[in-house]
Amino acid sequence: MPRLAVSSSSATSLSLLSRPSSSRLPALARGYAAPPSQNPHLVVPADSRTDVLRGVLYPRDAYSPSSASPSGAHHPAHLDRLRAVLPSEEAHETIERAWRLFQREKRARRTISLEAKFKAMEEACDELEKMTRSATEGGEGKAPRYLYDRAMARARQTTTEGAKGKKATAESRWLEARIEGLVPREAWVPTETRGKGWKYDWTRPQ
Amino acid sequence: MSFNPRVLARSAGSASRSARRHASSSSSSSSSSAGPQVTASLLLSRPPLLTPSAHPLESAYYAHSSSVRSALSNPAPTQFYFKPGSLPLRRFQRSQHQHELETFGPRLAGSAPDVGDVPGEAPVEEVARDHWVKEDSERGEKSLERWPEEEVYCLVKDGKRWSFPSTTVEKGEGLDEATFFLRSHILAGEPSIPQTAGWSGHAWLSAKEVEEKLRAQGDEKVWEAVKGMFGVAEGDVQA
Repeated sequence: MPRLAVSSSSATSLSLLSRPSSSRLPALARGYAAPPSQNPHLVVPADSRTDVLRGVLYPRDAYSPSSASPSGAHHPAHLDRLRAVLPSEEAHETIERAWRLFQREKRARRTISLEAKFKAMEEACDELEKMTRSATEGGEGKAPRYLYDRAMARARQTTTEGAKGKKATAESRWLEARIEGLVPREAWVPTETRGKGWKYDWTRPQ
Repeated sequence: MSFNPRVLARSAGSASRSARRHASSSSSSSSSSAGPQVTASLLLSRPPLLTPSAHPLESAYYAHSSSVRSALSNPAPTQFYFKPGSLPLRRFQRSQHQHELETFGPRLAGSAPDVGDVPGEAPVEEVARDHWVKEDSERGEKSLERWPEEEVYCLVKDGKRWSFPSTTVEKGEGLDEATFFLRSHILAGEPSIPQTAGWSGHAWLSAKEVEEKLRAQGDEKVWEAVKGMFGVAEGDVQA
């Protein structure tokens, strides 16, 4: 016969699910005061809430102390439920292998795509380097060297470095207020859903 | 050789440039004595807005994995999370039973819990993932909501010909023409083409659409040279 006291939480937790709503457990009892004989610093409050918590963390009918479950408890029909979801070991292995294969193919496609992009970039830089190297140094000398130098250095949007006072343009002021190389604050991370549409009438704040 | 970069008109867009350029050297077979031309083209793209949709296999696997997890999980400690006899507890018991019924079948789920009268919850308004695409559909190819899960690129129209916006617009042939690409991202706003540029329109196209357009107007060589930037490797067939 399950006790109605809250301390035997684990015994009553499962029976609660099938209990009609009219039955009630006693209200949570909280006890703070220490008896005069005891040291108040060493008293653990007789709190039914703590008992409930203890019952949740360390269930009475724990499956085993060294089980994989953190509190050692399982659903009473956990093996049947598992069998309902995974009919056989082969089924489980097939599902896992299919998933890993899918992931591997996805990763391979992504890697190939990324390598193609990098290769295009590398070839472009090599081409520019060759074009801008003078004929005396073995290049083609078709374009001035500063093109390559500027391309290899971190690109700046304005050439007016540190333009102040009268020379400060809107663009240079905009750049001054921001840390170079930092991801711009208008950038975003793709999300599941969007609350707002694209802002077509955005203008740079002055 | 003087290289005069003309400022590309982009009035209301915010962009952060990367220092990388790509070369697409289209070697024409002419033997004219014109000097070498270096062209700078812009690859302006809008990064994807939404996370990619789940593949059917992914959805199936996640559902299966959740079922296994709930089969092995501890029984929910309702006495800790809910007050006895409360409405949230009754809603939870009902939804638990529903979930067990769907996952494990009627035999293992058992009989439905006697929860009495449970008032309905407030309905959650769900917005479809393509809501903004549909809202903005009247802009057609100029819409920046197109292909929210993909990166879309800007192409400009010169008469009837679609191309990447570039500074040196050469009409005649050139020996050893090389086009270098600047990558740029649009973060807000819209590009506006001034009168001086000479382009009649623009469009935001996904990588596949860019390929289709270039092939349709006979620019297969341009596509072959440029496809690396879009992540299409040699010998790859774009899906």
